Amino acid sequence: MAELEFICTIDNPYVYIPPQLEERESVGIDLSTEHYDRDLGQLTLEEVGESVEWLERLGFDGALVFEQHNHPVGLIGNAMVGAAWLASITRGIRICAVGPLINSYATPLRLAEEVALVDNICGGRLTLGLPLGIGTQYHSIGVMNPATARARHLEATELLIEAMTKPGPFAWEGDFFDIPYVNLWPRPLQQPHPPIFLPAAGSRETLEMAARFRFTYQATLTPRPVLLRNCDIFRELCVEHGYEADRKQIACVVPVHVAETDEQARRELEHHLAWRFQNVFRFPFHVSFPPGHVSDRSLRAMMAGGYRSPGNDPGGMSYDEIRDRGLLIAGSPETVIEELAELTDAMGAGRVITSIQGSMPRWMQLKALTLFAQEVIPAFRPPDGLAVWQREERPAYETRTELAARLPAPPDRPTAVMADGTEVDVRTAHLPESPARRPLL
Amino acid sequence: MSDAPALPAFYTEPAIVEVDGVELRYRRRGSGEPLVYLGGAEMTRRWLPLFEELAGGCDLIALEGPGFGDTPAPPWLEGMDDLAIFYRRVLDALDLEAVHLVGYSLGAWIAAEFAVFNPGRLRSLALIAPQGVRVRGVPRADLFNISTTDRAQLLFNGAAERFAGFVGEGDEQETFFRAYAAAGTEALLAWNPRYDRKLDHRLPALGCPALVLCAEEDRVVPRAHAERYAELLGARLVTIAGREEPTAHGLVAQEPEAIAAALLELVGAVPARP
Repeated sequence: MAELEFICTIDNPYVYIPPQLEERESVGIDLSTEHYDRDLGQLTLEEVGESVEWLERLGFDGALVFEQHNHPVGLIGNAMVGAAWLASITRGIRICAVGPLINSYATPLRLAEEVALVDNICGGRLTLGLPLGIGTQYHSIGVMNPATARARHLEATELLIEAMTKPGPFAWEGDFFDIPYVNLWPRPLQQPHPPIFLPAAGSRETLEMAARFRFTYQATLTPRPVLLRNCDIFRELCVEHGYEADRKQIACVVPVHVAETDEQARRELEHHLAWRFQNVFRFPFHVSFPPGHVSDRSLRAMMAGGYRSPGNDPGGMSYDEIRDRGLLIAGSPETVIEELAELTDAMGAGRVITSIQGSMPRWMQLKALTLFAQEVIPAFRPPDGLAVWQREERPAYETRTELAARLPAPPDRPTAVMADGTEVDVRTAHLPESPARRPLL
Repeated sequence: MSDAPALPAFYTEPAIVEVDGVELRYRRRGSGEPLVYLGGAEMTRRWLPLFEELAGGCDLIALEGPGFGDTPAPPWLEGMDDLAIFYRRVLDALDLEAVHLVGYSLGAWIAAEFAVFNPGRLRSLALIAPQGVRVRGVPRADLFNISTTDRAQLLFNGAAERFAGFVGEGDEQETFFRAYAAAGTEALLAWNPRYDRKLDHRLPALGCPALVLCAEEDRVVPRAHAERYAELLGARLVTIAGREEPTAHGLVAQEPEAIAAALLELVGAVPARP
């Protein structure tokens, strides 16, 4: 069986909201904060931290947080702050911040600084994602225009990559950013930069961007034929850019739920799935697609593909329909292994991004994740069962002895000129016999 | 079954003038003083009854702006300043020296921007239900967070069915696609901010005959915006009354005769050029 990396999304939706029963209703933009309870909000966030500890202990490869704005779909409004927190309470697991909305930053250099900082404090365990942002986000940020978002996202990404990889300072003269001194301190630990995921529903522009930068195409689940076609297009685009895509460059996003039997999985999951599709991810068209967010050509293609036609609204689908359409993998470990292998082989994907059902009781979430870790994941691992983070070389040292062993002589020394005219290496100048204490010429 | 594209009611074949790489669609009829009309995002691609009324008293030139109706959006279009320059070149191309300029809704905002940068090209300025100024506490309706059908209802205060010929594009799909495309241009120009606060300083210096028309019950652009424009321009504010019901933001469709009469009165009051 082909090897797979397993990443689990741990963002929790705030679930204590009134039902959004009508298709037109949506929590996407303006559900009143009157519905927010501070204790329940704290609990919702606290559980994210608890989940990352579970995942690390269980041996998942990565834990993923996104960022949401202005709605209860997720309470982490800044993926980098979330990642910094998760980095500080874990030691090994990869922290995936997928991710910050680069367009919500006044300058991508602020994001570059955050990325470098978090990559340092987690010892080079950061994976970054650069989503364009779902439509709902545009209404609350105030600095993102959907009509210019794609062009700005591209330039901001180019600048981010250069800031992390090219020696500074250098000048940037773009359409959106004019910065005379791009000079990123600190530098990220991972070279040339932390791995980057690009979430995409399948627009050609996004696939092209992922291929060009060698990002991982994070394939948002769409109907199977479209999904497989997108994977093919992505691989072709990689070839056009002069290389063959690695399987790890395609990440399959699919909710997975493991239980003792297929029937038990349904019993546990069915109503949570209905809640999620009816209340969380069910935005009317104009909420998902603010003006300018997609081109006229893409919109016409989307509609030809049956977007949100009456039979295509997940909020109205039964458990079986959702399973039949490949929007979910659930069942016994055997079923899940079989279906995961089938889906990822069809896609040529080397990574799976699953999620926790936030409305499910915590004990049941843990049970499902434990079954997943112990009875599914090993089938896709080398015989030792080790997670990627247990096998890969880290750019960071772990102890000071390790540091001392690999530390080269610094190219520059911290030097001061004293009142008597002597130049000293300030690290040893307190010692009268310091060899660094010498008179200036 | 025909594959011919759906056409809206009142559709007429436009004339085309090419300026700065844009094939600008326009419709022109009548004689006398030149009156240039800049519309909003809606009611493009047609010869409106209002135009017919106006063409009876002037040389009416109704322009279909870049990114609206059948006029494509050029790659250089990024903001209002681009349009202020573009429309000056359009007047040059049409051999029009100074014109009476009328703008409606978003088109009124564009007309105001054109005016402050090109005062010498104006004989008069008339704004109908204008967007574009900031009136704190009474923003215009959020046209970027609304469905196509709800937007049409907002335009006519819930009576969109009676004005289907003005907002539809011939069939439902085409109406949806075209409304989304037009809203994209609208977002490009006015997503954020949704006003130009500099107009507060720039408009009072304009000094040309001006008129502001507003509806009785405008749910898109509150009346306070028309009042503010009138104050900035030192212009008369005229409320267009509805014959059957209070006028809405879609007043150009509801009361073409009254609006044409007010506009032609302004044109007539400005001494003709020798």
